[in-house]
Amino acid sequence: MAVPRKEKAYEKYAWVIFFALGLFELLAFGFGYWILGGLGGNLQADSDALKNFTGITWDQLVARIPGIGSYISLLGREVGINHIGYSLLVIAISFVAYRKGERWAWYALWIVPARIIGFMANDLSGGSTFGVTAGLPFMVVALLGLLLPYRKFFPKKSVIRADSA
Amino acid sequence: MTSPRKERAYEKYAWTLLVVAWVSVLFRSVAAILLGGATYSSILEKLTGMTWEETLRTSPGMASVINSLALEGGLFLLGFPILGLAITFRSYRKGERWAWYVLLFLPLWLLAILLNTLKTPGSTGQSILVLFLIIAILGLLLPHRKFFPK
Repeated sequence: MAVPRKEKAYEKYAWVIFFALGLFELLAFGFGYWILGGLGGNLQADSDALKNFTGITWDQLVARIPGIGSYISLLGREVGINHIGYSLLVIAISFVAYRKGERWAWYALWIVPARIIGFMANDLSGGSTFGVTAGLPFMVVALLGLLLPYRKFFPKKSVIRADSA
Repeated sequence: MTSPRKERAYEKYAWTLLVVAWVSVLFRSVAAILLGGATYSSILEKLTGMTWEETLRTSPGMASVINSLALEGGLFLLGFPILGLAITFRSYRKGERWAWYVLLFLPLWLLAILLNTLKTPGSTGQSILVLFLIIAILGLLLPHRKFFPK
């Protein structure tokens, strides 16, 4: 006879990891980019980064190429809107489906570490190692969020979940 | 005694409208990843008077900034339709109410992108955004009674 499976604390609360990651992205990147995008993209705030790429400051750039400020703002705001949409879905899935132990949510949330790899690769291709330094701890945390509750989503055949018993 | 509610065809299959709208978002994301800075070349040209090729030739540093930002936008967008499709195929199709609320983010996202382009003079593609916005709203409103029965 199958024995009901008792959920361990780290399995029960692993959803909090994705909830926190989503919330962090919403606040730090989503609203951050959106607000900065409205002011001229993240580049205006980080004029040193712009100077490294182009050799000129934000003000010089806008004076040299009229209209480029609006274009960068458009892109910056869009990046912010994308962060907001994505992070809200991560928060919702982690809070409802992942917490309940629905297997599709476990598969779907692999997008979180995959996306961090994409972010790191994009930064590396631009010649910066910041993305790797900043992204690595988040990737480890995301992988822990997936691997710690592994048995909750894929229980051994001989046991069944306590809540479904 | 209440009789079981019979689902109408348009309620049963309205989720496919959301799939269409999500696929359009996915397409936008993949296009930005593949094309990078060239994704919005027509807007760039209208705003600056320079084509993408001219930008690459005359301001390579600026072009790599634009390229990186467009690529970042595409990469960061990629998760949104993937998670949205997962919710649509599983919880929304089953009629779970939380999914209905969460998928309101899709028309809101489309609206935000539309407003962003309207804010920028010379932007294009608004009619396509309006079309998918209507499709997404229909996908949510048609099966309304499935999620909120009387």
